[in-house]
Amino acid sequence: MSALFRNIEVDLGTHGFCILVLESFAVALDQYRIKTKEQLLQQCTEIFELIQTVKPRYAILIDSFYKILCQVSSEKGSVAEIIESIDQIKKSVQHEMKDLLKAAETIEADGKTVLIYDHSHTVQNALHHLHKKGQRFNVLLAEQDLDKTEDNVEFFHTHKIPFKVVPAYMLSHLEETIDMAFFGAVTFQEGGRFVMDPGSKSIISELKLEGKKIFLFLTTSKFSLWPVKEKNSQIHVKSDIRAHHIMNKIEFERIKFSHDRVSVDLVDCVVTEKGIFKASELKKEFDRQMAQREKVEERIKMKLG
Amino acid sequence: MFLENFAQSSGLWIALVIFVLTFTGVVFEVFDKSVVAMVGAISLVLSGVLSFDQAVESINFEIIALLAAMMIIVEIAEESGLFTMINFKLAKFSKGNPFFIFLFFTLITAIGSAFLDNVTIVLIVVPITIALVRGLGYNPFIYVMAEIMISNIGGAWTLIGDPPNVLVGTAVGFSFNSFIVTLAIPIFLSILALLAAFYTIHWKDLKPIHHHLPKLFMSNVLLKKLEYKHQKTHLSKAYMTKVVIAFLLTILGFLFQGFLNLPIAVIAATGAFLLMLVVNKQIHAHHIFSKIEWSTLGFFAGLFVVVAGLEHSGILNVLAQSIVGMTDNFNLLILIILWASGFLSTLVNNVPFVTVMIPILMTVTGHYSGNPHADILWWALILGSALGGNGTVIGASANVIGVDLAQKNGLKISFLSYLKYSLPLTIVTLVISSAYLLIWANYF
Repeated sequence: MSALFRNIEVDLGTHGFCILVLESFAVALDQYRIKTKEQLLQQCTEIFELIQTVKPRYAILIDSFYKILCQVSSEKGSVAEIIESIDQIKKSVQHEMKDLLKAAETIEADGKTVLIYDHSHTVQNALHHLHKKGQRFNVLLAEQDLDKTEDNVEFFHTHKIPFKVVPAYMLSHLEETIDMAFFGAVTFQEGGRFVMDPGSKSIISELKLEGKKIFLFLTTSKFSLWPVKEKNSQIHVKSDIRAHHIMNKIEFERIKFSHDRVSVDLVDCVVTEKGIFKASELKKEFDRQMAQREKVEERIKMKLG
Repeated sequence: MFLENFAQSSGLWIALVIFVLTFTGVVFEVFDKSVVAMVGAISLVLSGVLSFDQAVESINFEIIALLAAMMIIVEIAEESGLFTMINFKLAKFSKGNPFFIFLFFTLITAIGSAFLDNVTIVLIVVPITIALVRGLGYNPFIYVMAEIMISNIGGAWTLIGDPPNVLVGTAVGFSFNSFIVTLAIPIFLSILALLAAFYTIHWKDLKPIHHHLPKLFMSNVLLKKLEYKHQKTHLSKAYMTKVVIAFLLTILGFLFQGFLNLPIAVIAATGAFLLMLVVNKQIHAHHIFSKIEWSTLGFFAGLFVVVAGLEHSGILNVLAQSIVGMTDNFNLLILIILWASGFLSTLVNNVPFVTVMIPILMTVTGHYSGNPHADILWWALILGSALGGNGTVIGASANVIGVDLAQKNGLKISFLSYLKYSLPLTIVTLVISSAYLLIWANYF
C-alpha cells in the first residue's frame, strides 16, 4: 500500500493524491451496502488504521480521516452525510492550495534566475502562477532522478517557462547566476525538520553558504502532527540488475534513500496558505497545531471508547 | 546398388540423429530454439540429406507470412494503446469487484487469444490483473492461472489463435470458419468448465465485496490511478479507429475466405500492409519491422526443413503405417491421437510436435479416405495439442511467458503449484473434447 500511495503521490503531488484518495473513499461509500452503523464505523476505523501505517504518513489524509471518523461516530453519520463531508474536505484541500499561491504572489522573481531541484507540484504551481501574473524569470533545474527531472522539464516546456538543466553535482559552477531557490517538502516534522527529496539538504546547505535566498512551499495541512519515532530515513534498498554487454549481468546492491531531513533554520521563508513564515514563526504555528491535534485525538478516542 | 542402399540408409540415420538432436535442443532450451532449428536445417543440407532447393521448398511460406502479418497487426494495435484502453475500461466496468474482474479478464483473454496472438494477450492482461488484484488485498495467483490456461483454450478456437492451428489449418486447407464452427462447442464447454472450477474452489476470494468497505476503498484507489494514467496517455482516436477498422476487415476477410478464394496469409498480409500504409505518419515502418519476432519465424522455417529431412528419409511413412496398424477401431484412433498429442504437448512445445505429426497424419487420413469423418483425426490433433499445452508450465509459450511475467511482478508460480491446477483441468478439457469428437464421429 505504501508503494502504491507513494507512486500516485509522485505522479499527482501530495494534494492531488489526497484528493484522489478522498474521492475513492466517497465512491467506495456509495457502492457500500451498509448492514449496521457499527459495522460502518468498524470498517472506517480499519481504513483509518491502514492509512496510518502507510510510510511516509500523509498528514492531510490522516487529518481528513480524523474528521470523517468524528462524523461516522456522531449522529450525523449516514452514508450520504459522510459523502457530503468528504466533498467539503476535498474542497478545503483544493482551496488551501489557491491561498498558498496567493501568498506566493508577494515574491519578487521578475528578471531573476530561480533554482529548483525537487519534484514538487506545489513549486511547479507557484512558478506557473507567478509566470501567469506577468513575472518573467528563468528557471535553473538541477537534475535528480530522471523521471522526476523529466516531469519538471515537461511541465516548464508545456507552460512556456524558460529553463535550463544542470546536473545537481555541477551546481557550484553556476552559483553566481542563481538569485533564489524554490523548494517543496513532503511534510514538516516535530523538531523543526522538513522531509524533502533526497539531495535537497546538500543543495540547500550550499546555497545557504553562498547567501542565496531560499523559499520553501508547504501548506500547513501537511504538518506531521505526531511524534517522530524513526530516525532512519532509509526506505528503499534494492538490488539492481543491469545488462553488461548483451548476456552478462552484473548484480550489485544500490542503496537509495527516499528522503532528506532538512532543518527549518536553513530556509529563509516558508510560503504557506496562511502567509509567509520565518523559521521561528513556523515552529510556533506547528506547536499550536500539534496542541490542537492532541485535543481532537483525545476526543475521538473517547468517542470510539 | 549397395552404394545406393548405403546412401539411403545413412541418409535415414543422419536425418533421424539431426531430428533427435534438434528436438532435444528445443525441449531443453540450452540454446535459443530458433538457432537450434536453423542449425538442424543447415546440417541436413551440409550432410546431403536434402539439397538446398529441397530445403527451401520444404518451408511453408504461407505460415511464415501469416504469422509475420499477424505480428504486424498486433504490434500496431498495441502501439495505438487499444489494448490498454480495453483493459482500463474492463477494470472500470468491474468497479473493482473480484467476481467481475475474474470474469471480464478471463473472457477478454479467451476472446483476445482467439483472434490475436495469445502470448501478446497474456503479456498485456497479466501485469494489469496482478496490480489490480493485489491492490485489493487478494492473491492474484488464481487470476493469473486462469488467464494463462484460458489463453490456450481461447487460442485453440481459431485458425490464427495458436501456431499449431496455423500449421494444421494451412497444411490441410481448413478454413477460418471451419475452425470457429467445429471447435465452438468443445472450446465453449472447456471455458465454462474452467470458470466453474475456479469460482467453486475459490468462491471465498471471488465473491462480490459490497459489504467490505476497506476492499471497496482500495479497489477504487486503484481504479482512480488507472484512470489518471489512462487520461495522461494521449491516445489518438484516429489512429485507434484505423487499427480497429483494419483489424475488423482482416477478420471479415478470414470469415469470407471461401468467397474471396485467397490464401489466408494473403488476407492477413493485405490487412497488415494496408494498416502500415494508413498509420505510416504515426508509426515508422522500421519500428514495426523491428518488432516482428524474427527468431520465431526462423524457428518455424528451420523446423520445416528438419521435418522435411525426416519425411525425405521415409521414417515418417513408417511411423504413419504403424499408427494405422495399431488399431482398426476409428474411435480408438481418435482417442489415441487426442490423448497422445495432449500428453506430449504437456511435456514438449506443441509446435515441433504438430509439425512432425502433420505428414504422419496426412498418410493416416489417406488410409481413411473413404470415411466421411476422417477429418476428425485432424481436429483431435488440434484440440489435443492446444489443450494439452495447458498441462504444465512448459507446455505452451503463453504459460512460460505468463509465469515469467508473474514472477517479474512479484508473484511466484512454481512448477508444482501450476501443476496442481493445470493437470486436473487439462484432463477435464480433454475429456470434454473426447466426448465431443466421439459423439460427432458416431452420431453425425
